[in-house]
Amino acid sequence: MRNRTTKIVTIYLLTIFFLLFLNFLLPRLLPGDVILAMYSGYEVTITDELYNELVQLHGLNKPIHVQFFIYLVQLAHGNLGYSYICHAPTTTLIMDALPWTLLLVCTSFVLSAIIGMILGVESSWVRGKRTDQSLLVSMLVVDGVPSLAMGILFLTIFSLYGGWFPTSGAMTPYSNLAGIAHIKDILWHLILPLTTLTLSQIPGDYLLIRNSMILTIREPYVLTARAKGIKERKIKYFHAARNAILPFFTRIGIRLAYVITGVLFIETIFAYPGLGLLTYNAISNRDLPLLQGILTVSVLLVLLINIVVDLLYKKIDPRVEYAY
Amino acid sequence: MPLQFKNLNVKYRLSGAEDNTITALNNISLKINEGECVSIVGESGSGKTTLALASMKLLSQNAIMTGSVVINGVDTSELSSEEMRKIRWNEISIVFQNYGDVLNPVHKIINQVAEPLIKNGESRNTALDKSSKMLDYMKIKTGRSMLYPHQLSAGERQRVLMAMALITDPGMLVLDEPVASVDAITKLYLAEVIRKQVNLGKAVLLITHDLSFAALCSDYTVVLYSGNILESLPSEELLDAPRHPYTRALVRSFPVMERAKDLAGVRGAPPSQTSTPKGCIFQPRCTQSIDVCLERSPQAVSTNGGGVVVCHRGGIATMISVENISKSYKDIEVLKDVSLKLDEGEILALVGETGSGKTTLAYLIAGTIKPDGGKIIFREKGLDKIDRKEFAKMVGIVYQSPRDSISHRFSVFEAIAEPLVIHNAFDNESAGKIKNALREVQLPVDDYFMRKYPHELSGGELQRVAIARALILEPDLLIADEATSFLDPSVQAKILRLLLNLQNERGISMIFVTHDIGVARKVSDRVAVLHDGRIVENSPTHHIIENPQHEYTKRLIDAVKSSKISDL
Ligand SMILES: Nc1ncnc2c1ncn2[C@@H]1O[C@H](COP(=O)(O)OP(=O)(O)OP(=O)(O)O)[C@@H](O)[C@H]1O
Ligand code: SF4
Ligand SMILES: [Mg+2]
Repeated sequence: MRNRTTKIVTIYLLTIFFLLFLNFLLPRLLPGDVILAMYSGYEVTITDELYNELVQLHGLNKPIHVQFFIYLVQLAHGNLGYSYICHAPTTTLIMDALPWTLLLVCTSFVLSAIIGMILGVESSWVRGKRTDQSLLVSMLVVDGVPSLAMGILFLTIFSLYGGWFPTSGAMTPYSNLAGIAHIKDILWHLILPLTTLTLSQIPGDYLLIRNSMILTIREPYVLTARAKGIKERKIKYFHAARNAILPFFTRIGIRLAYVITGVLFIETIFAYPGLGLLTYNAISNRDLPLLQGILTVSVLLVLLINIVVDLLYKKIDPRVEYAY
Repeated sequence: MPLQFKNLNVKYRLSGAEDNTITALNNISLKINEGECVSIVGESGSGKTTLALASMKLLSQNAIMTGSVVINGVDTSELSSEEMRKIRWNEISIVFQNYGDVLNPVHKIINQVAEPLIKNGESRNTALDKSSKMLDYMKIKTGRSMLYPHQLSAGERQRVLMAMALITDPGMLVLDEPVASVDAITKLYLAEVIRKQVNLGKAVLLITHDLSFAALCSDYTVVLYSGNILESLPSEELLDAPRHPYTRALVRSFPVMERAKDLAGVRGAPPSQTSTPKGCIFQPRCTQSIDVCLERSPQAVSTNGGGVVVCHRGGIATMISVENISKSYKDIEVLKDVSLKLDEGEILALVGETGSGKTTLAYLIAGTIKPDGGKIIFREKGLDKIDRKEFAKMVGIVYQSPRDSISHRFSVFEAIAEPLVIHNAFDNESAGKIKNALREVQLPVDDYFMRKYPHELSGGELQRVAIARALILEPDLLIADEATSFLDPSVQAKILRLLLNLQNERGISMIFVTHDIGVARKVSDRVAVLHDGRIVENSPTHHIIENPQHEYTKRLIDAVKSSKISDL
């Protein structure tokens, strides 16, 4: 048991180390001068003074392993660099944006998972019947619409044309709302991006669960449950679906990747001030330090999620103890 | 009448065309009373599990069922699924064949055992309490009940399934291979548990391929073959006195501790299930089929043992019956009032010391000498009324010493061809036939070998040639007179094995004359012991070895045992 834990921890540490190293290496592999490549944008002029300061900061006059060490030390202090374009420390920028993205991603991830699962389970249970077929077709149609197009459509209809929802932001600026009103305001801003993101995720979850359920229904234990005279709904969820959702958890990494790409577009469309929008801005401004910071944070987040999923998976599939 | 199947037919629709079906059960009628255990035996794929599933209306969607299953007087085909749900696990429960995930892998076993109680409205605590006790009763160690299925051994899972089936105390139990993966001691314990349930008045349908378990636990045994009932008989007769040729073949292929005879599979393969033959379904594999077997399917007939056998010939038929035979050479009375029966497809060992009259009896049966008194009936006809030459074609003899039976002037080819020549049956296909015969006895078939003369062959090779010669006319009866006794042990073992394989493949009857009861034990279904011209004992082989009745037999067995010890 201890051995296994050590092994897993080592694997994670190595992965983190490797990814950070890549992140550290990338700007240094860019053609030309590192400092110029990293910091020159059309709004920034790099004075000689600033240039020397930056060389000092990154230890660019020192050997590469020392540079990496400096990078790690700064990272450990929570210092991800400075964005000369936004005139703010990268860490601050990211920390301001992160909660909004987390709110959006987590809510939509959970919502789409629950809705996708329920639809998938119900659909597979009446496989081949009309309900199943119409659900399947509509899911395939929704799946075919790019989230970008969906977002624009919603924005046009519900915000620009209907005016029921705000066109941008995560809350009304300078409104000084508090308590329930504040929460309402946040939700009001959240609804459109959340709906778009969730809708774009549901078909994937639905199809995964439906397929998995179709296989699970044939398992002997489902027959056992039926033989025992268990009620239909309990067989469906407690015996079949409980097993059918397992592939969803093994694929959480991939599914998250979808959500993260999705969020990039959706935050941009709805001007929702999360990491996605921040990334978009960093890219369009060629703000490399900010981009690098976002990358680092994302890597750490994804790994963290993986650890949580691993632990969680052990809870939901008792057989997995032996998987390592 | 707790559980009854009436004219049950089950077909499985296969993918593809609408009428592409296989027949899994064909017209099954069966009753199981309170306090009665009926076991179903049969090869894999014979439809045992299908029957179990049908009993609880759990057949898969592609199954087409006609006929009915009656549970406590209620025809289940008329019940709604909600009504059926209430019957399940309250009136009838099942132990599924234990492969794959019969238990849900993500739930603790105790919860799965308790589930039927909870669904019946018991409180969670009482349910868990009862389940824990039941698991205890099934010898699952306390503490292990909190585990998940994959953490248990196959044998433990088997007992969990049993605990689950018993938890609601239903009046009927269906057990599909409940001892397939448990050790001998646990098996005995499970037998005890099952017997106890039967004694409590339950109706138990026990499906097993373990014939001795069927004999141990059940009152009746039903033999299923390719979806058809071929025989039903009291379970205590299953191992000793099966009536149907198929049942005998099953028994022969089943290892029992007491039996030392080499295992022989059921010859041939089960029939295709996509078409129904016109005649008897077992015909292609039967050792005693007659013309009518191809024409019409047989009807069930009652046997005097209280069972039923589905066979045109009323079950295993008698091939030869020897009635009150006596024979003297000059003044010496060699055989005194001997009576004996040989069934179709049976291997009988005639055991006795030198001079006991074994060979004389064998030759009388072969028709080469005539009895002084009594008669011999071959397939319901007196031997004296059968044409000598015709009869000779039906009986092959392998003698003690091949050098006596094969003329030294014949080459291997000529020696084997001779019987064909004698019966005017030598034609241009014969050479191929002879080669086949040589292959069957595992000898080379090149010209060089076939031109060899007896003195150029080893004893083992020559005996094989003699066997090929005895079988070339495709006899129905093979008499082997001390055919292996002068060979060294390893060759002897090979020849014995060969004879048994040939017997099994061709389904012929065999009389095996030997002085060595040890050899008899390895080859025969039945042993007849000759002593002083009389048959002093005649029973199934394992009975004689286990429990010899006559002093003389005991002496023979002791002699074999002590010689084995001195061999060490
Ligand atoms: N769902 C199904 N669809 C199609 N064919 C089936 C199905 N279930 C069983 N069969 C076929 O029906 C026949 C009888 O199967 P069944 O499972 O009843 O055999 P069995 O006697 O229980 O065999 P075993 O001893 O191997 O368990 C077999 O030929 C099998 O292939
Ligand atoms: S004798 Fe005929 S009816 Fe009887 S089992 Fe053999 S083939 Fe079937
Ligand atoms: Mg089976």
